[in-house]
Amino acid sequence: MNIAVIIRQVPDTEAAVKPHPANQGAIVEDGVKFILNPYDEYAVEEALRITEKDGGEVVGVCIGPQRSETAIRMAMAMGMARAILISDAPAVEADLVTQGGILAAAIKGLSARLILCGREMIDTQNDAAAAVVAHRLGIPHVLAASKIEISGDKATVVRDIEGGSLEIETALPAAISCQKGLNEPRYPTLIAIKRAKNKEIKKMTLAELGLAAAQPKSRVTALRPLQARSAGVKVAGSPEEVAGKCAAWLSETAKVI
Amino acid sequence: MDFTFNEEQKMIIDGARRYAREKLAPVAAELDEKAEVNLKALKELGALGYLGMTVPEEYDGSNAGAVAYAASIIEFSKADAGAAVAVSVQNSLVNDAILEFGTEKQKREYLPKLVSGEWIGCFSLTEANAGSDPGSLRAAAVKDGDHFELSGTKNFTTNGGIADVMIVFFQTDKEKGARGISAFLLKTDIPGFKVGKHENKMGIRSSSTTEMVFDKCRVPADSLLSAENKGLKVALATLDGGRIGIAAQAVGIAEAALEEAVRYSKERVQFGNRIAELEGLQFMLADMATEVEVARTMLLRVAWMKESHTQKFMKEAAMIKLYASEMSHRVCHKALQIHGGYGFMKEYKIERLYRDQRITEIYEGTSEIQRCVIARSILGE
Repeated sequence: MNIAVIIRQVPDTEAAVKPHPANQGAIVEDGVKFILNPYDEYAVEEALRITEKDGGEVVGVCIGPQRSETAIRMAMAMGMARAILISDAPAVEADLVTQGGILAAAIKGLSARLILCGREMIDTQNDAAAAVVAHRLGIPHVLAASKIEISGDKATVVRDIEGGSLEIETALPAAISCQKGLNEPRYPTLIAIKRAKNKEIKKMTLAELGLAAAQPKSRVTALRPLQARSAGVKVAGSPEEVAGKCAAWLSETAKVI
Repeated sequence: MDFTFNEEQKMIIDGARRYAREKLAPVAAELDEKAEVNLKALKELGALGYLGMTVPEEYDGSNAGAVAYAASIIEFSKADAGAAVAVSVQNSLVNDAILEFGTEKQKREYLPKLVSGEWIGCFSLTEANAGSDPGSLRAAAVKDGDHFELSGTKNFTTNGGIADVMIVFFQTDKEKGARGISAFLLKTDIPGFKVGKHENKMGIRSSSTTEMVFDKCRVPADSLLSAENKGLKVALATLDGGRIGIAAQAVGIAEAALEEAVRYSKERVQFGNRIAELEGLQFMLADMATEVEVARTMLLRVAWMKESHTQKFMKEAAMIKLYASEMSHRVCHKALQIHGGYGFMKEYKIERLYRDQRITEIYEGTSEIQRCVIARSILGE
């Protein structure tokens, strides 16, 4: 069974991210390390486990700037066989629904029975990819899987919910997004890292996918860091004094009582 | 001149950093307390390829090169310097010695299993009365036809208690002193050999350090690594490469100490301000960061010299071992000072780093021996 995995590159969790002063909604990329989206690692790992057991090929599909290649190479070092990278600006800058359409067009040619991706991107917290791609391909989707079992033409997926879990049976092909806990992603071996650099990354344009560039229907217009909270008011003294001071502050300064 | 890692090196180093954080760091303090080896991690690092970083692929090595190796040892050392030295010994003292001096048969027999982590190796030169002076070895190999009979006790052998394979040095011609020692490549399950005392150490307690006891241990003559009486060259050439590993360990410990000091100085409030705002402390941090950077840069250059096979690096290896280990001493000293009384307590990582650092100035050639090597080289002797 061939499996398509949607690959996204995100800033490292430890990177100090700052909004770009001129470029609306973007971050300053200088000095920021980019990594394979950690949730996508669960997707790659799951795809590898399924194909190692049942055969088939794992192919990555990625919309992103050229630098996304390092995230793809990481997935390849884990074992992914090859990938398609779509880097033209209208695709990279497109809204999520449009990007879903682009991914669907790229995936169509892969005869994939399963499409996997991480449950969300850790930078923007976008979590729509699996659903949008499934919609565009006219196939079912399940989000945030913590367990996937394939048998024949269907998959049984477990999804954790508040206080319990749901078990969902879905026909294949299907798109499934992967939650933490689904598996423990492997560390790439050094030999696999060396071999990854010779694996094929096919660069495709929108035109090659038979798509026209469209105006984004939505776009990020601002990225703002949280404002630091101002220091609180400290009161000291005996319990009686503290209570008195608090009451006075609430009635006279805050004017809430 | 290009000082950047290539993509492959970046991924290997990132992998080492990630493994160190996720698998070594969480148990490092406990293993230090109990003086236990993280054998599971060593085996996993073998499976990943970190135990065969300089071994060609024809012997199943990952052939990642000395630069990626040195940078990986830095990452392992930041989490657990004891685990890091075990990795260093396997790569630079065992694999490299077999690669350089082994017969094709020895390479095929030993390297694939060392590289995969199935076998752990050790390098046993030191004795109670022969440390810096290998000419005074007492352990002797006596030739008997096509066999040697080995007797004597070696000590302070890193990985001794977990080793499946050992490279051991014996006196084969007492008259010739240092020119009369020979290296042997042996399994540890041979009759007449046993592991002796397990040392209770000040630092790198998560590494095994033991005596190696030989009692009329009969081995075939083809267990020799390199020719009879050529052991000194095996020892000296191998230790040149080993020094890169120990220098990397020292840099890793220093980087970790600096990180601890920076974090603590931003948390600790005295006289109403974070102590990081005190200029006296800022100057300490600036000096520490500068020294770490200098050592790191030179270390990678010496590793590159080894990797490129274009030039000798004996002097430079001695220099970086000397500088990095003494730099690490200064950085750990200051980092502990910045922690004040808390730094003296086992709850804080700097306490372990301070103890772990100390051996880097001693093993694989003391600082004094490094100075001898450097002086001899610049005086042209």
